Amino acid sequence: MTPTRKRRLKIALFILIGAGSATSLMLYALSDNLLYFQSPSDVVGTVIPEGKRFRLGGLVQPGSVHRDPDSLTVSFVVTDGQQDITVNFNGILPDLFREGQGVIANGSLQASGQFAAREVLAKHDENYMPPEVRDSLK
Amino acid sequence: MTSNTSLWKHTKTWFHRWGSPAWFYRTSGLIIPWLWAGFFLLAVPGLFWGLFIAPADYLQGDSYRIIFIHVPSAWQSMLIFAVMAGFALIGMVWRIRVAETLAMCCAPIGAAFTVVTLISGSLWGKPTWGTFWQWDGRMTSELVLLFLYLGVIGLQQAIEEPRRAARAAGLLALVGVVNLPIIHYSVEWWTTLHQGTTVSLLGESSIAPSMLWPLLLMVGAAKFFFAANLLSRTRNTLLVQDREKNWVRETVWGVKQ
Amino acid sequence: MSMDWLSGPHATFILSAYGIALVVSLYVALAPVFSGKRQRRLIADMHQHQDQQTT
Repeated sequence: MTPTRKRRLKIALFILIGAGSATSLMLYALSDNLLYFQSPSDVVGTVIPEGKRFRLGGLVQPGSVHRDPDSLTVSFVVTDGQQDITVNFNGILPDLFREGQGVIANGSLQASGQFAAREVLAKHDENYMPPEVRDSLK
Repeated sequence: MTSNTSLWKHTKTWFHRWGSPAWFYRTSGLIIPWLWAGFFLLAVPGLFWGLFIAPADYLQGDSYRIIFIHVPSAWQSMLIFAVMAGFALIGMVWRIRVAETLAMCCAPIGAAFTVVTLISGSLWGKPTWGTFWQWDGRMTSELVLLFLYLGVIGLQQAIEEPRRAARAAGLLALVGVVNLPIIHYSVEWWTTLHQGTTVSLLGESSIAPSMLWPLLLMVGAAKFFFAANLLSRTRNTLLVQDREKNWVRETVWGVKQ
Repeated sequence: MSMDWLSGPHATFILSAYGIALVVSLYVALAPVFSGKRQRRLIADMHQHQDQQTT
Protein backbone atom coordinates (compact mmCIF):
# COMPACT_ATOMS: atom_id res chain seq x y z
CA MET A 1 0.00 0.00 0.00
CA THR A 2 1.31 3.43 -0.88
CA PRO A 3 1.93 5.91 1.96
CA THR A 4 -0.96 8.13 0.79
CA ARG A 5 -3.40 5.22 0.92
CA LYS A 6 -2.09 4.20 4.33
CA ARG A 7 -2.67 7.72 5.58
CA ARG A 8 -6.21 7.79 4.17
CA LEU A 9 -6.98 4.42 5.76
CA LYS A 10 -5.69 5.70 9.11
CA ILE A 11 -7.91 8.78 8.85
CA ALA A 12 -10.96 6.64 8.03
CA LEU A 13 -10.31 4.31 10.98
CA PHE A 14 -9.73 7.31 13.23
CA ILE A 15 -13.13 8.75 12.21
CA LEU A 16 -14.80 5.39 12.84
CA ILE A 17 -13.21 4.98 16.28
CA GLY A 18 -13.99 8.60 17.17
CA ALA A 19 -17.64 8.32 16.18
CA GLY A 20 -17.91 4.96 17.94
CA SER A 21 -16.49 6.14 21.25
CA ALA A 22 -18.47 9.38 21.23
CA THR A 23 -21.69 7.43 20.67
CA SER A 24 -20.86 4.81 23.32
CA LEU A 25 -20.16 7.52 25.92
CA MET A 26 -23.43 9.24 25.07
CA LEU A 27 -25.44 6.02 25.26
CA TYR A 28 -23.71 5.11 28.54
CA ALA A 29 -24.59 8.48 30.06
CA LEU A 30 -28.20 8.23 28.88
CA SER A 31 -28.68 4.53 29.57
CA ASP A 32 -31.28 5.03 32.33
CA ASN A 33 -33.42 7.15 30.03
CA LEU A 34 -33.23 4.63 27.21
CA LEU A 35 -35.11 1.99 29.17
CA TYR A 36 -38.54 1.54 27.69
CA PHE A 37 -40.06 0.12 30.89
CA GLN A 38 -39.22 -0.54 34.57
CA SER A 39 -39.68 -3.91 36.25
CA PRO A 40 -41.55 -4.23 39.56
CA SER A 41 -38.17 -4.73 41.29
CA ASP A 42 -36.90 -1.43 39.86
CA VAL A 43 -40.03 0.32 41.15
CA VAL A 44 -40.43 -1.19 44.63
CA GLY A 45 -36.92 -0.30 45.84
CA THR A 46 -37.00 3.33 44.73
CA VAL A 47 -39.15 6.33 45.57
CA ILE A 48 -41.19 7.32 42.52
CA PRO A 49 -43.42 10.38 43.16
CA GLU A 50 -47.11 9.69 43.02
CA GLY A 51 -48.58 10.65 39.67
CA LYS A 52 -45.26 10.52 37.74
CA ARG A 53 -45.79 8.75 34.42
CA PHE A 54 -43.64 5.71 33.63
CA ARG A 55 -44.02 2.27 32.06
CA LEU A 56 -44.20 -0.83 34.19
CA GLY A 57 -43.33 -4.14 32.53
CA GLY A 58 -43.39 -7.76 33.58
CA LEU A 59 -45.45 -10.92 33.38
CA VAL A 60 -49.16 -11.12 34.21
CA GLN A 61 -49.36 -13.29 37.34
CA PRO A 62 -51.52 -16.34 36.50
CA GLY A 63 -54.83 -16.24 38.36
CA SER A 64 -54.53 -12.57 39.26
CA VAL A 65 -56.78 -11.09 36.54
CA HIS A 66 -60.09 -9.72 37.83
CA ARG A 67 -62.55 -8.21 35.41
CA ASP A 68 -65.44 -6.06 36.56
CA PRO A 69 -68.53 -7.65 34.95
CA ASP A 70 -70.27 -4.28 34.38
CA SER A 71 -67.45 -2.20 32.91
CA LEU A 72 -64.11 -2.42 31.15
CA THR A 73 -62.28 -2.10 34.46
CA VAL A 74 -59.71 -4.82 34.99
CA SER A 75 -57.04 -5.43 37.59
CA PHE A 76 -54.10 -7.79 37.46
CA VAL A 77 -50.74 -8.33 39.13
CA VAL A 78 -47.52 -7.64 37.21
CA THR A 79 -44.59 -9.68 38.48
CA ASP A 80 -40.93 -10.20 37.62
CA GLY A 81 -40.57 -13.17 39.94
CA GLN A 82 -39.24 -11.06 42.82
CA GLN A 83 -41.70 -8.22 43.31
CA ASP A 84 -45.39 -7.79 42.41
CA ILE A 85 -47.41 -4.66 41.68
CA THR A 86 -51.18 -4.57 41.20
CA VAL A 87 -52.29 -2.72 38.07
CA ASN A 88 -55.73 -1.18 37.58
CA PHE A 89 -56.87 -0.38 34.05
CA ASN A 90 -60.06 0.84 32.46
CA GLY A 91 -60.04 0.18 28.73
CA ILE A 92 -59.61 -2.41 26.02
CA LEU A 93 -56.76 -4.86 26.53
CA PRO A 94 -54.68 -5.99 23.51
CA ASP A 95 -55.55 -9.37 21.95
CA LEU A 96 -52.34 -10.94 23.18
CA PHE A 97 -53.02 -10.07 26.83
CA ARG A 98 -52.78 -13.46 28.59
CA GLU A 99 -52.02 -14.72 32.03
CA GLY A 100 -48.36 -15.68 32.24
CA GLN A 101 -47.44 -13.50 29.23
CA GLY A 102 -45.53 -10.23 29.10
CA VAL A 103 -47.29 -6.91 29.49
CA ILE A 104 -46.29 -3.24 29.58
CA ALA A 105 -48.54 -0.75 31.39
CA ASN A 106 -48.14 3.00 30.94
CA GLY A 107 -49.37 5.04 33.88
CA SER A 108 -48.45 6.10 37.41
CA LEU A 109 -48.37 4.89 41.00
CA GLN A 110 -51.29 5.72 43.27
CA ALA A 111 -51.15 6.53 46.98
CA SER A 112 -52.22 2.93 47.69
CA GLY A 113 -49.06 1.63 46.02
CA GLN A 114 -51.09 0.22 43.13
CA PHE A 115 -50.44 1.22 39.54
CA ALA A 116 -53.06 3.09 37.55
CA ALA A 117 -52.55 2.29 33.86
CA ARG A 118 -53.71 4.57 31.05
CA GLU A 119 -52.56 2.18 28.34
CA VAL A 120 -51.70 -1.53 28.36
CA LEU A 121 -49.56 -3.16 25.66
CA ALA A 122 -48.80 -6.86 25.26
CA LYS A 123 -45.17 -7.95 24.97
CA HIS A 124 -44.47 -11.30 23.40
CA ASP A 125 -41.19 -13.20 23.58
CA GLU A 126 -38.86 -14.33 20.81
CA ASN A 127 -40.20 -17.91 20.65
CA TYR A 128 -42.30 -19.01 17.69
CA MET A 129 -43.85 -22.46 17.48
CA PRO A 130 -47.02 -24.22 16.38
CA PRO A 131 -49.67 -24.96 19.07
CA GLU A 132 -48.88 -28.72 19.08
CA VAL A 133 -45.24 -28.07 19.92
CA ARG A 134 -46.30 -25.70 22.68
CA ASP A 135 -48.65 -28.32 24.15
CA SER A 136 -45.98 -31.00 24.11
CA LEU A 137 -43.62 -28.66 26.00
CA LYS A 138 -46.09 -28.24 28.86
CA MET B 1 5.80 -18.44 -0.43
CA THR B 2 5.83 -18.14 -4.21
CA SER B 3 2.35 -19.64 -4.54
CA ASN B 4 1.16 -17.22 -1.89
CA THR B 5 2.50 -14.22 -3.78
CA SER B 6 0.99 -15.43 -7.05
CA LEU B 7 -2.39 -15.93 -5.35
CA TRP B 8 -2.12 -12.41 -3.95
CA LYS B 9 -1.21 -11.07 -7.39
CA HIS B 10 -4.10 -12.97 -8.92
CA THR B 11 -6.58 -11.51 -6.42
CA LYS B 12 -5.12 -8.08 -7.01
CA THR B 13 -5.56 -8.28 -10.78
CA TRP B 14 -9.11 -9.53 -10.33
CA PHE B 15 -9.80 -6.65 -7.93
CA HIS B 16 -8.32 -4.10 -10.35
CA ARG B 17 -10.33 -5.47 -13.26
CA TRP B 18 -13.58 -4.81 -11.39
CA GLY B 19 -12.33 -1.26 -10.89
CA SER B 20 -12.61 -0.62 -14.62
CA PRO B 21 -16.07 0.79 -15.49
CA ALA B 22 -16.12 -0.88 -18.92
CA TRP B 23 -15.28 -4.30 -17.47
CA PHE B 24 -17.76 -3.75 -14.63
CA TYR B 25 -20.53 -2.81 -17.06
CA ARG B 26 -19.99 -5.85 -19.26
CA THR B 27 -19.48 -8.45 -16.52
CA SER B 28 -22.30 -7.28 -14.27
CA GLY B 29 -24.61 -7.36 -17.30
CA LEU B 30 -23.85 -11.08 -17.60
CA ILE B 31 -24.41 -11.75 -13.88
CA ILE B 32 -27.64 -9.80 -13.29
CA PRO B 33 -30.05 -12.32 -14.95
CA TRP B 34 -28.62 -15.13 -12.80
CA LEU B 35 -29.09 -13.04 -9.67
CA TRP B 36 -32.75 -12.46 -10.55
CA ALA B 37 -33.13 -16.18 -11.20
CA GLY B 38 -31.73 -16.88 -7.73
CA PHE B 39 -34.14 -14.35 -6.25
CA PHE B 40 -37.22 -15.98 -7.79
CA LEU B 41 -35.96 -19.46 -7.00
CA LEU B 42 -35.90 -18.55 -3.30
CA ALA B 43 -38.68 -15.96 -3.01
CA VAL B 44 -41.50 -17.90 -4.69
CA PRO B 45 -41.26 -21.07 -2.54
CA GLY B 46 -40.35 -18.95 0.51
CA LEU B 47 -43.46 -16.79 0.20
CA PHE B 48 -45.75 -19.73 -0.51
CA TRP B 49 -44.32 -21.77 2.35
CA GLY B 50 -44.48 -18.86 4.77
CA LEU B 51 -47.99 -17.74 3.90
CA PHE B 52 -49.79 -21.01 3.25
CA ILE B 53 -47.85 -24.00 4.58
CA ALA B 54 -46.13 -22.89 7.80
CA PRO B 55 -48.29 -23.50 10.88
CA ALA B 56 -49.85 -20.69 12.91
CA ASP B 57 -48.06 -19.55 16.08
CA TYR B 58 -49.39 -20.82 19.41
CA LEU B 59 -49.64 -17.30 20.83
CA GLN B 60 -49.88 -14.85 17.95
CA GLY B 61 -51.94 -16.97 15.61
CA ASP B 62 -51.47 -15.95 11.98
CA SER B 63 -50.28 -12.37 12.49
CA TYR B 64 -46.74 -13.73 12.96
CA ARG B 65 -46.66 -14.48 9.19
CA ILE B 66 -45.46 -10.89 8.77
CA ILE B 67 -42.10 -12.20 10.07
CA PHE B 68 -41.30 -13.60 6.60
CA ILE B 69 -41.14 -10.09 5.15
CA HIS B 70 -40.21 -8.13 8.28
CA VAL B 71 -37.10 -10.01 9.44
CA PRO B 72 -35.48 -10.49 5.98
CA SER B 73 -35.90 -6.80 5.15
CA ALA B 74 -34.71 -5.71 8.61
CA TRP B 75 -31.52 -7.75 8.25
CA GLN B 76 -31.08 -6.53 4.70
CA SER B 77 -31.53 -2.88 5.74
CA MET B 78 -28.61 -3.27 8.16
CA LEU B 79 -26.43 -5.38 5.86
CA ILE B 80 -26.78 -2.85 3.02
CA PHE B 81 -25.57 -0.09 5.31
CA ALA B 82 -22.48 -2.13 6.17
CA VAL B 83 -21.86 -2.88 2.47
CA MET B 84 -22.31 0.80 1.62
CA ALA B 85 -19.79 1.82 4.29
CA GLY B 86 -17.36 -0.86 3.04
CA PHE B 87 -17.48 0.43 -0.55
CA ALA B 88 -17.24 4.00 0.72
CA LEU B 89 -14.08 3.06 2.65
CA ILE B 90 -12.54 1.39 -0.43
CA GLY B 91 -13.47 4.44 -2.48
CA MET B 92 -12.01 6.75 0.12
CA VAL B 93 -8.68 4.95 0.47
CA TRP B 94 -8.04 3.74 -3.09
CA ARG B 95 -10.07 6.40 -4.94
CA ILE B 96 -11.73 3.72 -7.13
CA ARG B 97 -14.67 5.29 -8.91
CA VAL B 98 -16.60 2.01 -9.29
CA ALA B 99 -16.45 1.51 -5.50
CA GLU B 100 -17.70 5.06 -4.89
CA THR B 101 -20.56 4.53 -7.34
CA LEU B 102 -21.47 1.18 -5.76
CA ALA B 103 -21.61 2.84 -2.33
CA MET B 104 -23.92 5.59 -3.58
CA CYS B 105 -26.22 3.11 -5.33
CA CYS B 106 -26.63 1.16 -2.07
CA ALA B 107 -28.40 4.05 -0.35
CA PRO B 108 -31.81 4.06 -2.12
CA ILE B 109 -32.09 0.25 -1.92
CA GLY B 110 -31.22 0.28 1.77
CA ALA B 111 -33.72 3.08 2.41
CA ALA B 112 -36.43 1.03 0.68
CA PHE B 113 -35.69 -2.04 2.83
CA THR B 114 -35.78 0.17 5.93
CA VAL B 115 -39.19 1.57 4.94
CA VAL B 116 -40.54 -1.95 4.39
CA THR B 117 -39.11 -2.99 7.79
CA LEU B 118 -40.75 -0.08 9.60
CA ILE B 119 -44.14 -0.44 7.91
CA SER B 120 -44.35 -4.24 8.18
CA GLY B 121 -43.22 -4.02 11.82
CA SER B 122 -45.89 -1.47 12.57
CA LEU B 123 -48.56 -3.62 10.91
CA TRP B 124 -47.35 -6.54 13.01
CA GLY B 125 -47.28 -4.49 16.22
CA LYS B 126 -50.93 -3.46 16.08
CA PRO B 127 -52.51 -6.95 16.28
CA THR B 128 -49.91 -8.27 18.76
CA TRP B 129 -48.66 -5.49 21.05
CA GLY B 130 -51.72 -3.32 20.54
CA THR B 131 -49.86 -0.33 19.06
CA PHE B 132 -48.50 0.75 15.67
CA TRP B 133 -45.55 2.64 17.08
CA GLN B 134 -43.71 3.16 20.37
CA TRP B 135 -40.40 4.95 20.95
CA ASP B 136 -38.47 1.96 22.24
CA GLY B 137 -34.78 1.33 21.53
CA ARG B 138 -35.26 -1.03 18.58
CA MET B 139 -37.83 1.01 16.70
CA THR B 140 -36.11 4.34 17.30
CA SER B 141 -32.70 3.08 16.16
CA GLU B 142 -34.23 1.56 12.98
CA LEU B 143 -35.89 4.92 12.27
CA VAL B 144 -32.48 6.58 12.76
CA LEU B 145 -31.15 4.15 10.11
CA LEU B 146 -33.74 5.48 7.65
CA PHE B 147 -32.65 9.05 8.38
CA LEU B 148 -29.00 8.07 7.87
CA TYR B 149 -29.86 6.61 4.45
CA LEU B 150 -31.82 9.76 3.57
CA GLY B 151 -28.85 11.83 4.78
CA VAL B 152 -26.46 9.93 2.50
CA ILE B 153 -28.82 10.37 -0.48
CA GLY B 154 -29.40 14.05 0.28
CA LEU B 155 -25.74 14.87 0.81
CA GLN B 156 -24.82 13.15 -2.43
CA GLN B 157 -27.44 15.08 -4.39
CA ALA B 158 -26.50 18.40 -2.79
CA ILE B 159 -22.96 18.30 -4.24
CA GLU B 160 -22.78 18.66 -7.99
CA GLU B 161 -19.45 17.02 -8.83
CA PRO B 162 -20.22 13.26 -8.57
CA ARG B 163 -16.90 12.13 -7.14
CA ARG B 164 -16.78 14.81 -4.44
CA ALA B 165 -20.44 14.03 -3.66
CA ALA B 166 -19.66 10.32 -3.28
CA ARG B 167 -16.73 11.01 -0.98
CA ALA B 168 -18.68 13.38 1.27
CA ALA B 169 -21.70 11.06 1.47
CA GLY B 170 -19.35 8.10 1.97
CA LEU B 171 -17.99 9.79 5.08
CA LEU B 172 -21.51 9.96 6.52
CA ALA B 173 -21.99 6.28 5.64
CA LEU B 174 -18.79 5.44 7.51
CA VAL B 175 -19.85 7.37 10.62
CA GLY B 176 -23.38 5.93 10.44
CA VAL B 177 -22.02 2.41 10.88
CA VAL B 178 -22.03 3.00 14.67
CA ASN B 179 -25.83 2.76 14.52
CA LEU B 180 -25.70 -0.90 13.38
CA PRO B 181 -24.59 -2.42 16.73
CA ILE B 182 -27.08 -0.13 18.47
CA ILE B 183 -29.95 -1.58 16.42
CA HIS B 184 -28.75 -5.12 17.02
CA TYR B 185 -28.09 -4.87 20.75
CA SER B 186 -30.91 -2.44 21.62
CA VAL B 187 -33.08 -5.35 22.77
CA GLU B 188 -30.33 -6.58 25.09
CA TRP B 189 -28.91 -3.32 26.45
CA TRP B 190 -32.23 -1.72 27.34
CA THR B 191 -35.74 -2.85 28.14
CA THR B 192 -37.80 -2.65 24.94
CA LEU B 193 -41.27 -3.47 23.72
CA HIS B 194 -39.65 -5.36 20.84
CA GLN B 195 -38.77 -8.96 21.72
CA GLY B 196 -35.21 -10.29 21.81
CA THR B 197 -33.28 -12.04 19.04
CA THR B 198 -34.95 -15.19 17.67
CA VAL B 199 -32.57 -16.51 15.01
CA SER B 200 -28.95 -16.78 16.03
CA LEU B 201 -26.08 -17.80 13.78
CA LEU B 202 -24.29 -19.59 16.62
CA GLY B 203 -26.44 -21.67 18.91
CA GLU B 204 -30.06 -22.64 18.71
CA SER B 205 -32.83 -20.51 17.24
CA SER B 206 -36.02 -20.20 19.25
CA ILE B 207 -38.30 -20.79 16.28
CA ALA B 208 -39.82 -24.07 15.10
CA PRO B 209 -38.06 -25.55 11.99
CA SER B 210 -41.33 -25.43 10.00
CA MET B 211 -41.23 -21.65 10.43
CA LEU B 212 -37.46 -21.18 10.21
CA TRP B 213 -37.02 -22.65 6.71
CA PRO B 214 -39.34 -20.26 4.85
CA LEU B 215 -37.74 -17.43 6.83
CA LEU B 216 -34.26 -18.46 5.66
CA LEU B 217 -35.48 -18.73 2.04
CA MET B 218 -36.78 -15.17 2.24
CA VAL B 219 -33.54 -13.98 3.85
CA GLY B 220 -31.62 -15.48 0.90
CA ALA B 221 -34.05 -13.94 -1.59
CA ALA B 222 -33.45 -10.49 -0.11
CA LYS B 223 -29.70 -10.89 -0.70
CA PHE B 224 -30.21 -11.75 -4.39
CA PHE B 225 -32.68 -8.87 -4.83
CA PHE B 226 -30.15 -6.44 -3.40
CA ALA B 227 -27.24 -7.74 -5.47
CA ALA B 228 -29.18 -7.63 -8.76
CA ASN B 229 -30.61 -4.20 -8.04
CA LEU B 230 -27.27 -2.75 -6.92
CA LEU B 231 -25.52 -3.91 -10.09
CA SER B 232 -28.28 -2.48 -12.35
CA ARG B 233 -28.20 0.88 -10.62
CA THR B 234 -24.40 1.05 -10.67
CA ARG B 235 -24.30 0.20 -14.40
CA ASN B 236 -26.67 3.06 -15.15
CA THR B 237 -24.71 5.55 -13.10
CA LEU B 238 -21.39 4.54 -14.71
CA LEU B 239 -22.92 4.84 -18.16
CA VAL B 240 -24.04 8.41 -17.48
CA GLN B 241 -20.75 9.40 -15.84
CA ASP B 242 -18.73 8.06 -18.78
CA ARG B 243 -21.07 9.21 -21.58
CA GLU B 244 -18.20 10.96 -23.40
CA LYS B 245 -15.91 7.92 -23.26
CA ASN B 246 -15.23 5.36 -25.94
CA TRP B 247 -16.46 2.28 -24.07
CA VAL B 248 -19.90 3.87 -23.67
CA ARG B 249 -19.99 4.69 -27.37
CA GLU B 250 -19.21 1.05 -28.14
CA THR B 251 -21.81 -0.23 -25.68
CA VAL B 252 -24.61 2.08 -26.73
CA TRP B 253 -24.06 1.60 -30.45
CA GLY B 254 -23.07 -2.03 -30.19
CA VAL B 255 -19.95 -1.63 -32.39
CA LYS B 256 -16.38 -2.64 -31.70
CA GLN B 257 -14.02 0.05 -32.86
CA MET C 1 -52.16 -25.92 3.45
CA SER C 2 -53.39 -23.34 5.91
CA MET C 3 -55.31 -20.63 4.09
CA ASP C 4 -57.92 -20.07 6.80
CA TRP C 5 -56.18 -16.92 7.93
CA LEU C 6 -57.29 -15.15 4.75
CA SER C 7 -60.73 -14.83 6.35
CA GLY C 8 -59.33 -14.37 9.87
CA PRO C 9 -59.00 -11.18 11.91
CA HIS C 10 -55.35 -10.58 10.97
CA ALA C 11 -55.73 -10.88 7.20
CA THR C 12 -55.84 -7.08 6.70
CA PHE C 13 -52.56 -6.60 8.56
CA ILE C 14 -50.78 -9.47 6.82
CA LEU C 15 -52.01 -8.56 3.34
CA SER C 16 -51.19 -4.85 3.79
CA ALA C 17 -47.67 -5.69 4.97
CA TYR C 18 -47.02 -7.94 1.96
CA GLY C 19 -48.81 -5.56 -0.40
CA ILE C 20 -46.69 -2.58 0.63
CA ALA C 21 -43.53 -4.70 0.42
CA LEU C 22 -44.54 -5.75 -3.12
CA VAL C 23 -45.17 -2.17 -4.26
CA VAL C 24 -41.90 -0.89 -2.79
CA SER C 25 -39.83 -3.73 -4.23
CA LEU C 26 -41.43 -3.41 -7.68
CA TYR C 27 -40.62 0.30 -7.69
CA VAL C 28 -37.03 -0.28 -6.51
CA ALA C 29 -36.48 -3.12 -9.00
CA LEU C 30 -38.01 -1.46 -12.07
CA ALA C 31 -36.66 2.09 -11.58
CA PRO C 32 -33.13 1.25 -12.86
CA VAL C 33 -34.56 -0.74 -15.80
CA PHE C 34 -36.55 2.21 -17.13
CA SER C 35 -33.99 4.89 -16.30
CA GLY C 36 -31.31 2.73 -17.93
CA LYS C 37 -33.26 2.54 -21.18
CA ARG C 38 -33.91 6.29 -21.15
CA GLN C 39 -30.28 7.10 -20.46
CA ARG C 40 -29.01 4.87 -23.23
CA ARG C 41 -31.33 6.66 -25.66
CA LEU C 42 -30.22 10.10 -24.44
CA ILE C 43 -26.55 9.14 -24.75
CA ALA C 44 -27.13 7.73 -28.25
CA ASP C 45 -28.82 10.99 -29.27
CA MET C 46 -25.93 12.98 -27.83
CA HIS C 47 -23.37 10.93 -29.77
CA GLN C 48 -25.33 11.29 -32.99
CA HIS C 49 -25.49 15.04 -32.48
CA GLN C 50 -21.73 15.21 -31.89
CA ASP C 51 -21.01 13.11 -34.98
CA GLN C 52 -23.15 15.36 -37.17
CA GLN C 53 -21.29 18.43 -35.90
CA THR C 54 -17.85 16.97 -36.65
CA THR C 55 -18.69 15.87 -40.20
